[in-house]
Amino acid sequence: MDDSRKAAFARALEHWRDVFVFAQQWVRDRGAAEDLAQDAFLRLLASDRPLDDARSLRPLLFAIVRNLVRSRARRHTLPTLDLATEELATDRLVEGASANESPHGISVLREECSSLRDALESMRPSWRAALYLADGLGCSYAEIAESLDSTEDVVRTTLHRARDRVRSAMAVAVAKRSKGLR
Amino acid sequence: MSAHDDANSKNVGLDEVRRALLAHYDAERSHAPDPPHALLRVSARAEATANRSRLGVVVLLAAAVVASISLWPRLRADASPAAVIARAARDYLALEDARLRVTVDSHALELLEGLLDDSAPGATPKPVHFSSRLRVDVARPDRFIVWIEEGSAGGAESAPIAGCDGQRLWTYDPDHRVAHLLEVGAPESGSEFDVTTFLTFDFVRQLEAENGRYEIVEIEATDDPASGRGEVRKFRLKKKDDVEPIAPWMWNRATVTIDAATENIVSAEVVLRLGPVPLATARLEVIETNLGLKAEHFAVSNRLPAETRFVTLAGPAAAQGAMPALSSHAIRAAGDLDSLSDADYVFVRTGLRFAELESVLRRSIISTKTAYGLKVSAVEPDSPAERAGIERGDIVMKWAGAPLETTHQLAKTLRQRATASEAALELSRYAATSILSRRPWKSLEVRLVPRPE
Repeated sequence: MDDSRKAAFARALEHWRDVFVFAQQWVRDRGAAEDLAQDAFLRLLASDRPLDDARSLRPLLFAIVRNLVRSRARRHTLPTLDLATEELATDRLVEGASANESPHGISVLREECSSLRDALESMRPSWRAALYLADGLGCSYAEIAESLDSTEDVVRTTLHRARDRVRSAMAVAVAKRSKGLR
Repeated sequence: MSAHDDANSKNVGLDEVRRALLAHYDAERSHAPDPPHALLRVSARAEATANRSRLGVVVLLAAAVVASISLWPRLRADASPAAVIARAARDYLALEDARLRVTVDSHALELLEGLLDDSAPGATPKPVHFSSRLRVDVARPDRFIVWIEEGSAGGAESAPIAGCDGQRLWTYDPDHRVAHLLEVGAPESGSEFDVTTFLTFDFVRQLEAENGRYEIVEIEATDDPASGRGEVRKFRLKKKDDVEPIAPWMWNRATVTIDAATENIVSAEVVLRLGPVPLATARLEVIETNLGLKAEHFAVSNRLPAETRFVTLAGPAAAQGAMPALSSHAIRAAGDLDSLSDADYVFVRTGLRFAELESVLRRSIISTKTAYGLKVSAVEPDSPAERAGIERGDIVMKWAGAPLETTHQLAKTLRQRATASEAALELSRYAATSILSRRPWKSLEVRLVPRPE
């Protein structure tokens, strides 16, 4: 592999965290997500595709992850749920807010995070992935459709349903906060 | 959603949802691990690395060997295979100490031992010895197999873990029994290829599971009225879309024998190859209604050392030749119905598994009268299919009035009807009562109510 391709691959690695979190939307297990993400980058490297346009590689990497997930599901390699990852993410959110929040506020914040987490866990993996691309990375409908091998219309519907589910789950926690309940 | 919930949800605007999600994802991203050293090393940004897993080591070694070997014509005269591999191992495995010994015999190299720098960057390196040996069989500069040997010299077991067949570089993951391809060289969508050079170890099972992904475009078959047997010599496949090939084991040539009277596959003989290297011949026999391998039928090639055993090939699953044993409820509980293969989707909705490849091969025998129809290879207990009275071995000729040819076709029909609407099926059931029976097949009509989605 020549030096220019190595350098281009190094730039592509800037998408590592985005790809890892995307993989985590599918398999919900840190180790499995890391394996998927590493596999995706290896396959990209081994392909003939030019790596110069780093920006265009991100949807391709997402698509490779999605294909890997599908092929492993066919072989009955079932994803596992690792709650530790989710709880850690909640802890970090709460830590960040704790300087400005009362103990009651922190408790409600935890409940909101927990509701959000439960809503995400109850969703299909494809919904979680679409939500992450839209609201986590700010991708366009076209980019999301390309990453998920879908159409923009289906993406719009999926996002609407997924956000509605999050909204319903969070509504209970918000109502409690407005009433000052623990 | 209740009215109470509905009222509550009006308190949460879309902006608030998005903010909450963004915060959640930011937290996930901040908790994400750094890129693994294997990737950093390839990108040439690496510092002294520690490889995390043996498989990662082998992947890089195999990739390095291919990369080095691809430069073969430009290497100097002293760049023997041993020297090339030793240099690649040093470069890609970060083997800091020159304690590589590479020996060469007539067609194999052996990497005896090496040191792996397993320390954190910046710390004093603490050498770690390999717990296994790696052996490389080199048939040609661009064709090789990497074996790993574990255990002591007297009781060592070896298994292939990576290889290159001139087109594809693969690794073998014994936990998943599949290969990870690092080079794209497999047939592309729309390409046609002679199955005699591309069949894989799990070929029949895989094709049964991957309905609709391959189609048979040409068959060479003969019919021998004297013996009452038909024989499919070979067939050509066309790959419909870009799927990932699975196992590295390849059948060089498969001769499939089908009994023209019962229209069952009787047996198949294959020459088993590992990459480009012919290793063994095997005879497959029918187990249930699927082809399976029995260990005792292997004849091991004398190209390999005597202590080599095909332990992974003759594992329990291979010996039984069984289809995956997950129930439809387990498959359904795994999640997304949209991501299921056609075969799994049909199984979840109806409790039926089909021997699709066998059905296609059967239809190719000149003497067969069935132009279409899928043979049932399994009926799940307590399923809609069992309640309809379908039995294993039945051929489903028509589904809701339409001739049935592929599982993909059936899956498409079922996906369009997510609810449980009754379908009329036309079956053929083999019912010969003696060898003199002139009408061995009888027609049946049954009604099946699929499970709702």
